[in-house]
Amino acid sequence: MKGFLAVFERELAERRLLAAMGLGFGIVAVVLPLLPGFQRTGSTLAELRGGLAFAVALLLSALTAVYLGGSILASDLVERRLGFYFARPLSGWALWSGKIAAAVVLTFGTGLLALLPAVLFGGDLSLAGYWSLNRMGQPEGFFNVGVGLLFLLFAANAVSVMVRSRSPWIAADMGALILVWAVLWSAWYRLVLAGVVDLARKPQGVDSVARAWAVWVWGPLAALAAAGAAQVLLGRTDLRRAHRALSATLWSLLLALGIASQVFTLWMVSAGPGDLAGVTQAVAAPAGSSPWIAITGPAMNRSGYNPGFLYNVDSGRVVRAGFGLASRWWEAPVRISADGRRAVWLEYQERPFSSPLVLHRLDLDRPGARPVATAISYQGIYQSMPKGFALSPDGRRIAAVRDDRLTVDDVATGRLLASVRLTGDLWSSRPAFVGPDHIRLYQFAARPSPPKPPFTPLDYDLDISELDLATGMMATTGRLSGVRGFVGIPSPNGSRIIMRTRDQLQLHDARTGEPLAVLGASKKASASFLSGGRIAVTNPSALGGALELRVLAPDGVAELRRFRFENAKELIPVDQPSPGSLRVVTSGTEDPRSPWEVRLLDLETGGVQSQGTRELAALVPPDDDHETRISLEGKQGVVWTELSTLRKRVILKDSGTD
Amino acid sequence: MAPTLRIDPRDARPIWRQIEENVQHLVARGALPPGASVPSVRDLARELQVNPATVSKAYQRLTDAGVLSVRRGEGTFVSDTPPPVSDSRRNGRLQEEATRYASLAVTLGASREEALATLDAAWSGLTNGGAGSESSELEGEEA
Amino acid sequence: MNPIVLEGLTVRYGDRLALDNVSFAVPEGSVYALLGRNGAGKSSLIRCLLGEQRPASGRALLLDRNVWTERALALEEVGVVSEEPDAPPAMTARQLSRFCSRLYRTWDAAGLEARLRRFGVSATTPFGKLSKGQKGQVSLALALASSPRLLVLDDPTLGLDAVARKAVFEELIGELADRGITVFITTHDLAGVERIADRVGVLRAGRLVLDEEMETLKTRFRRVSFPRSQAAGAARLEALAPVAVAARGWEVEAVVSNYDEESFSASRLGGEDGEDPEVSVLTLEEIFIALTGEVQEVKA
Repeated sequence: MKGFLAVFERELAERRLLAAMGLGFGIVAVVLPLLPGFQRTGSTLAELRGGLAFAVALLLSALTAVYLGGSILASDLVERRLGFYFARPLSGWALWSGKIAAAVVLTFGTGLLALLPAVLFGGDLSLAGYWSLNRMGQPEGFFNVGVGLLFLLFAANAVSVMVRSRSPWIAADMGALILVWAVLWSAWYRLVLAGVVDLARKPQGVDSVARAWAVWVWGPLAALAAAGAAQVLLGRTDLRRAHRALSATLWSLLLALGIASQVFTLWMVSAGPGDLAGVTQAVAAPAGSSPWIAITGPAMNRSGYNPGFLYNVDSGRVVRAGFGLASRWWEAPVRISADGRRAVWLEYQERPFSSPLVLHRLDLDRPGARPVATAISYQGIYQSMPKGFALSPDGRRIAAVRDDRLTVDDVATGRLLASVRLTGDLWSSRPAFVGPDHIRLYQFAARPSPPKPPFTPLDYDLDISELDLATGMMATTGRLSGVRGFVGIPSPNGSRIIMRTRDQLQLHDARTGEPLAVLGASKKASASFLSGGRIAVTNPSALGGALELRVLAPDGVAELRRFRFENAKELIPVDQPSPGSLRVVTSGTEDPRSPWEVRLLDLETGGVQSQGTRELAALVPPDDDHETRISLEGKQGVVWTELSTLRKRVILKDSGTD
Repeated sequence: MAPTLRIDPRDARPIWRQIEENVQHLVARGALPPGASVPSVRDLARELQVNPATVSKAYQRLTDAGVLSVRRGEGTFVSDTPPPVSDSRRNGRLQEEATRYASLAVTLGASREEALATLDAAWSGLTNGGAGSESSELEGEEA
Repeated sequence: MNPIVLEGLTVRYGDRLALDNVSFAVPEGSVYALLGRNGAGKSSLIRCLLGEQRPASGRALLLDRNVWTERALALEEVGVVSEEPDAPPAMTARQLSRFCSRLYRTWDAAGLEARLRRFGVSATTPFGKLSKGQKGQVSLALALASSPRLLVLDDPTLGLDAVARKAVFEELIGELADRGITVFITTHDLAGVERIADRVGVLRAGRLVLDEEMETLKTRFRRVSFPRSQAAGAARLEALAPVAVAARGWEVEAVVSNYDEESFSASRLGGEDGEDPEVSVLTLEEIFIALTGEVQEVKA
C-alpha cells in the first residue's frame, strides 16, 4: 500500500501542469462566448458556456488519456528507467497500479477541472438543446464517456509498447487483432441478424443481451488492463519481454471473449420451441388438412429474441423459419396452404427492418425438404410491410398488399401475375383466395382512427372487391356492414363467410356481404364449416352448465343435429375423419393444460363415441411472470387460439396413438 | 599525522600481514613510540583503501602480540611495553631481504666483497641518522 | 545465512547460453567481487539477482528469499547501485530521497544529504542534469540511506575520475567498518577492488571459472619466468601445467595457478646451468587476464 501511494503521489506531483491546463481551458470556455465576435445562434449564454466547456473537457480528457496512457509506463520502459523502481522494495503491482491510478485521476481530473468554471459561472451542462448528442449530459452519457476514456488510456499503453518495442512481434499483434475482431464481429453480427440488438423488444426472463453488452464493454477494458499489468509484472524492465507479456495476455483474453461471444450467439439462435416463453402467433392450415403448425413467440432469457418454427404435430419435426422477426403481435407473415402441402413465410434478407423481406417456402409433404428462398421480395420498412398476404389453396400463388397495390406472384417462379392499384383504406386491406384464380379483398369502408386490431369492440363496414386473375380486373362486389374487424371464417369454397356482426355470429354471402342467417346470439358462440357446406355452431346451453354443438344445413338455418355435452366448459371441433363424422375435444375447465376428452360425433345418427383423454400442448402467450414455457414433449396435440378467426383450434397427434 | 603505510599488491604477503609487519617495524624503529595513538580501523581502512576486516585482523594480531593495546572509549595505542619482534619471524624476514639483495648484487655483477661493503655503508648511514629519524617511510627497492 | 545464494542459474537468449549453471554464495559480512569480460554474462547475472529477469533454470536468493517471486520483500534490506544509474530525470536527489523513504523501514535522509555534500553533488539539481559520475554517486547515497544489510553494486566506478572513485571506495569502506554490511560488486576496476574484496568470482563465457578467497587466490598464482635458452624449457613448462604462457624475446613467462612455495623450491627447476626461474607475484588484474584472455600457444 505504501509503495502504491508513493508512486501514485509522485506521478501526480510531476504532472501538476495538466491540472493547471484543465482549469485554464475551462476558463477560456467560460470567457469565449463573451467576446464581441462570438455569434450566438439561438442559444443562451449559459448553454454556450456549457456546450463549450463540455467540448473542451471532452477533448482535454481524451488527449490526456492518450498521452498518459502512452507514456506513463511505456516511456519509462522504452527509456530503460524502470530499473530504478525494480531495484527498490516496490512490488510490480504497486508500481503498475500507482501509475495507472494517477493516470486515471489526471485524465478525469483535467476534464472535471475544465468543467468547473462553467459550473461556477452558471453554464448549462445538460446540453438539452445545443449539441444534440445522443444521451450526452445525462448520467448515461457521462458513463459512456468515462468508459471511453479508460479504454483510450489502456489502449494507448498497449499500442505505445507494441510500436516502440520495434520487435517483429507486432506483426503477430496485427494478425491477432484481425482474428479477434473477426471472431467478435461475426458473433455480434449474428445477434444483429437475430434482431436482438436493434429492436426494443420486451425481454422475457433474463435480459441476456444487456448482460452480454456489459461483458463486451468491460471485457476488453479488463483485458487491456490485465495485459498492462502483465507487462509490468512479467516483462519487468525489458521492453521486448514486456511486449510479449502484454500481447500474450491481451490476445488470449480477447480471444476467450470472442469464443464466449460465439458460444453466446450460438445459444441465442439455437432456441427451440421448448425455449419459448409463450406463443404469440400460431398459424395452421384449415382444419384437418395438415399436421403442421407455424409458431412464433419470444424465447426465454434471450432479450426478446423471437424465433419462428414450423412444427409437425404428428412427427414432432421442427423446422426453423425466420418469420418470427417479421411478425407483429397481430400478424405473423406465415401461411400454410389449404391442401396442407406447402408453407410460405417472409424472412428478412439481412438486417431486420432495413433489408427486404424475402418469401421463403417449404414443401411440407416431402420429408427431406429444406426451406428455400423464392425470388419474391418485398422492400420496405414496417409501414409498407405486406399486410395480410394470402396463399392460394394449392400453395402456388401468393397475394399481398404492398404499399398501394395488390400484387399476385407465382411462388415457384417469382413471376408477377397481377398488380392492381388500390383505392380505399390500405391499412385494413386483406386479401383472400377464392380458388386459384380469384382474389377477394376486404377493406374498411371508412377508415377508423387510429386503426384498431381485430378484437376491439367497434363496428366497421367492409368493402368487398374481387380480382379476376384471368382478366386482371378488380371490381367491387359488395359490403359487409356492422362487423367486428376481420374475425371472419370463410367457407372452404369461399362462397360464404361467418362474421361476428353486432354481437351476433352471422352467416353472410362472401361475395356480396348480404347477411344470410344468424348462427348464434351469445358472445361465447363460435362456428366452423363442415364438409358439404354444413355449419357447426357451438354455444353454451340455454339451460346452463353445458355446451351445445348444433349442426346446421348450408343455409345456416335448418338444424340437422344437436349434441349436448354436460359439464363441458370448452368444446373445440378438430377435424372430420369422414364426411359423416366430426371429431371434437371437450374440457371441463378453461385451463387448456388440463386433459381434454376426445369424442367422435356421428353426424348421421347423433351418436357420441369417447376416444379417451389427451393432454394437449397449450400454445399460449407469455405470462407476465415470464414463467410460461411451451412444453411439446409428451403431448398428444396442440391447442391454441387462432387470432385471425378468434377461435380455439386443436391439432391432434394421429401417428401411432389411440 | 601517523606514519604512512603502503600496501603493495605485488607483495607475496597478504594485506593484513603487510599491515601487521609494517606496524611492527615502525614500532621497532621507534617511528611509533610507545603510547602513541594509532588510526582507528575505520580511518586506516579508508586511507589505505582496504577492507576494514583486513585492518581489523592485523590490529587483532598486534593486540594479541602485545604490540598494540586498546583503551575502551579512547582508541588504539602503541602499548607501553611493546615486545620485540619474534625471533623466527625476524630471522625469516632478514633472510628474505638478504636473499633478495644478494640476488640483485649477483645480477649486477658485483662481487661478494663489494656487496658486503655497500651493505655496511648503508647500515652506517641509517644508524648515524639516529633512532629519531624523520624519514619513516619503508624504503622500496631501487631496481 | 548467506545474503546471496545462486543455485544453478542458467539464462538463455535463443540458442545462446548467457549463463551456464552458475552457482555460488556470498558469505555474510564479506566483500565479493565478480569479474568478467564484457559479454561474459555479468549483466544477465545481475538482472537475475535483482529479480528483473527470470532464469531459464535455477534460482537466485537474496537474504534467503527467491528474488523472482518475492522481489519486493527481498529488496527491503538491499541497496542497489545499477551500472546505468537511472531515476526519473525530473526528480532531484532530495525528491528521490523523499520517494524512497516511503519504501523502506528506516531512512536516513540527513545522512544522505551529508554524503552528497561529501561527494560534492547538489541535492536540488534534477537527476537528468547530473553527470554520469554524479548520478552514480547519488545512486550510492540512495542505496546506503536505507541502512541495508546487503549492497549490490554493478560497476559503481565506471566513468568516474580518480577522485570520485576514491570517494566511492571511502564511503563503502566506511559502511563496512560501521555496520558490517555484505557487499557484492562487479567491476572492471581490478586494482581498486583488489584491496577491498574478500572473495572473487570470475565469469568466462557464462561459466563461473573461479570462486575463491582473495588471499588463497593470490597465494597460488605466480608468474614463472625463465630464459628461452634453457633447453629443457618445454618439458619443464608442461610439468608446471601453466594457465597461460607468454613468449617474450628473451624469456618465457608462464602463469601457474598451483604455486606452492615448498614443493616448488623442492622440485628445483634450476637444471644444469640453472639460473633459477624467477617467481613473481601477480596482481589481480594479471590473474584475471590470464584466466580470461586468449589462450596462447606453448612455444618451445
